[in-house]
Formats: sequence, C-alpha cells, structure tokens
Amino acid sequence: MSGKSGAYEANMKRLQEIVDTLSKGGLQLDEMMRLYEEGTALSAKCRKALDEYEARLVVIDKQNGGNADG
Amino acid sequence: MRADYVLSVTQLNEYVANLIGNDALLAGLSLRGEVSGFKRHTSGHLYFSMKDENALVRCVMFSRNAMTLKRELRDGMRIVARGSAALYTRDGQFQFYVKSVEDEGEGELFRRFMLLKARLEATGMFDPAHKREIPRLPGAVGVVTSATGAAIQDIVNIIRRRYPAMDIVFCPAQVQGEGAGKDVAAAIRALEADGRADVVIVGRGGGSLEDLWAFNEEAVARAIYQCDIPVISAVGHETDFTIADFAADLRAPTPSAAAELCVPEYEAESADVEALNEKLTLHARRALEAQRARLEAFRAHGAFASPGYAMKTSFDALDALEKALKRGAADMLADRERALGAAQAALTALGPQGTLGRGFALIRTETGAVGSIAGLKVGKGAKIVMHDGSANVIVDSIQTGGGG
Repeated sequence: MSGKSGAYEANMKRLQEIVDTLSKGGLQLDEMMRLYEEGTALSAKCRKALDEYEARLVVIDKQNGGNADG
Repeated sequence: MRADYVLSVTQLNEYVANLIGNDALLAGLSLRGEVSGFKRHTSGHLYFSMKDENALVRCVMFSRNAMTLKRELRDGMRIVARGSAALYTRDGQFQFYVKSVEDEGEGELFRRFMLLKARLEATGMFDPAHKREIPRLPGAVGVVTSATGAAIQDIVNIIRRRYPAMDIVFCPAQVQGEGAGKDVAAAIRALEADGRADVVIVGRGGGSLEDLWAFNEEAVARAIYQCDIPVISAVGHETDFTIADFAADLRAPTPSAAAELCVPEYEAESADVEALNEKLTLHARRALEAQRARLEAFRAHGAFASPGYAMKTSFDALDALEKALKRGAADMLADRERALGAAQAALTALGPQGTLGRGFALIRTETGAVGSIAGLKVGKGAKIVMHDGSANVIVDSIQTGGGG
C-alpha cells in the first residue's frame, strides 16, 4: 500500500499507541510532554489527511497500461 | 393456398401448426434463456416464459416431465431446456414444450469456468496469503467498469454519500462481448500505472453468464493478481461468482457494496480522529495532575530547608504546561520549551547539583556518599565535593548530634 492511505493508517495506529501509553501513566514529565507533542502532531496530520480531497472524478484511458498482455 | 380461399380460424391455426410440426429442428432442440413469469398450475403443469434480451417464448412443462426437475424453477433462473416448439392451435399461441431442464451452470460455459478455476487455483493465484488489505482511507478510489452501465453511477453515488470529497479515478472498459476481458485487464493496468488510486473496484452490474464472461477470463484474473493496488471485485449480483472474484483481494456482492467497502464514512472517520485527540489531551492532563500531586506531597514533607523558590518555579512550570494543553497543540511547542526548561531547572535545584550550587558540599568516602556522621571515622580519608571542585581530607575528630 503506498502513499497517503498507508501513512494515514500508520499515523492513526501510532496515535492510538501514544494514547494507550499515556493512559497507563507513570511517565517522566518530559517523556509525557514529548509523547503529547507527537500525538497532537499526528492527530493534526490525520485531520488534514481526511480533508485533503477535492471530490474529483478523473477519467483516464487505457493506452498506458494496455501494452503488457496478460 | 389460393387467395380466394376463406379459411376458418381453426383451419389457419392447424395449417400453421402442421408447418411447424413438420420441421425437424423444432421437433427437438435445446433452448437457452431466462425463466420469467413462472406459475405452477394445480394440475402440476408448469407455465412460464423463457426470454433473452430481445425476445420471449411461452413455455409449458407438463407434470410428468416436471417431476424430473432436480430443482424448482424460479424467475430469473438461466436454464437450458430440451423440448419442442409447436403452435397451440386453440390460442394460436406459439409455445415451447419443455421435456427436461438443465441449469445453464451445468452447460459448456460452466465447464470452462470450472476448468479455469481449477487451473488458476493450482498456480496459487487465489491463495489467501497473497491478498492485500483494503486501505482504511484510500488516497483515491480507482474504478474499472463500463462507462455506460449503471455500475459506475451506483459506485460514484455511494462514494459521494459516504465521503463527499473523495477523489475517484475512472478507467472505462468494455465489460462484455468480444475482447472485453483484455480491455478490463488493460484498464486495471492503466490505473496501476496512473498511481493515484490505492484501491480499485473492478466490476459491472448483473447479466447472464455470457454477459459476465469477461470476468471469467484469465487475462482479467492475471491483471487483478498482478496489480500492486488492492482490488475489490464487484461482478453482477450476490449470487454470481466469477474467476475475478477469486483472484481479487476482496469480493463484493455488487458494485454498490464495493463502494461501501472501499471508502469509510467521513463523519465516522473524523469522529475517530477527534476521539483520539481528546483522549490524548485528557491523559496528558491527568499526567500533569499526578506530577502536581507529587510536588504537593514533596512540599508537605518539607524535605528541604529552603526549597520555596524551586517549588514555586515547578508549580509555575506545571501551570504553564496545563495552559498550553488547554489551548491545544498550536503553540504547544514554544510553551513546552519554556515551561519544560523552567521545570527542569526547578527540579534540578531541588536535587544535589542545585544544592551544591547554593554553597553546600557533599561528602564521599570510598563507600559512596555520606548521609550520616556515622559514615565517617577518625583518621580516615573523605572527599568534599562542591559545585566547583573537590578536596581530599582526613577526619580529625567527630562530634555526634545536630548543629555544628
């Protein structure tokens, strides 16, 4: 899986991990802040990814892919 | 028959019936078509029509023949019927008299289907281990189907309903008739080469086994198998299975269902991100509160003689972090640098380094830091550590008890 979809899933997964880690508690203050910061950055990225579409309907033709005969 | 002859209706129908009855082909033939308007009479005779895209013929199957049916006929069933065609003179109705029925599935196409399926299966083409996961949020959805069918409309409508701004890359292909298989395969490769889509729906709406045949061709199966992008097959109705379905990463029962499977609902996905973000802030705040409670406990114990300044700085630092949390991530970074720096400095001031900085000294012997006068012995060596250096000394005399 390439590009955007893979990145989104990975970011959501990492964000979930961070939330889980924070929820367990017992972290040093700076470690906690580092994770919080990473988490907010990830959630901002995910938010952005959700809204990065333009409702396009692109029609392409087959000529580029039609050469390799299966 | 001469033009000035006047015939009765009976004579006409019998004449035509006779013509038809003398035709060798019509006396025994196999007829392929779809069952429609099926009725079972109380007598046990079956009445229905068989039709294809352009024509329809009424059929009768008498009860003695109907008893041989392996399964009940129903509307929409595609069958091959053995029988004869004749005119029913009473009604002037041309009819097909069915003697036996085989599912079209048992016919030639079905045999070819089974052969190809077995052969491709043996090559590992349908191996579950090769199936790729359908992405949770595709960058764009690729679609291969006919430009004129209902499928493309259904797919676009459902994607738009679930995720209004989703981008779609559509590569139209001929989905039935001569060359359709190669065309569909080429379209799949074109989407792959285009690179924008990271999930592809390949399919078409319902039709007869022949109509769907392109999706039973090896070229399509190979293109799906070799496609780097996950492919969802969506051919015909729920009951239609094709080779493409087996080669695909996921089979959807219909084109509409495929659209549901490849795109999340925007609202639900947004809510998921929002929920994680809220939990993140919630847990960060709890962690800060725990830190504050620790500091409070520290102060209550009065562990240090004059930690007032450092304590205050620590509480201020926590306050600053909490404020930053309330504001959210936007200006978190700058605040964090300041607040954390201050917190670190404050906590350090409470630790040995800070204490030394204020002019106190640490005494060590070869067994480590000395916390009590009992750790020292007259005549033995010790090391005095201060913030800017250390000195080796010999203990001259010892007085126990506070002060000094």
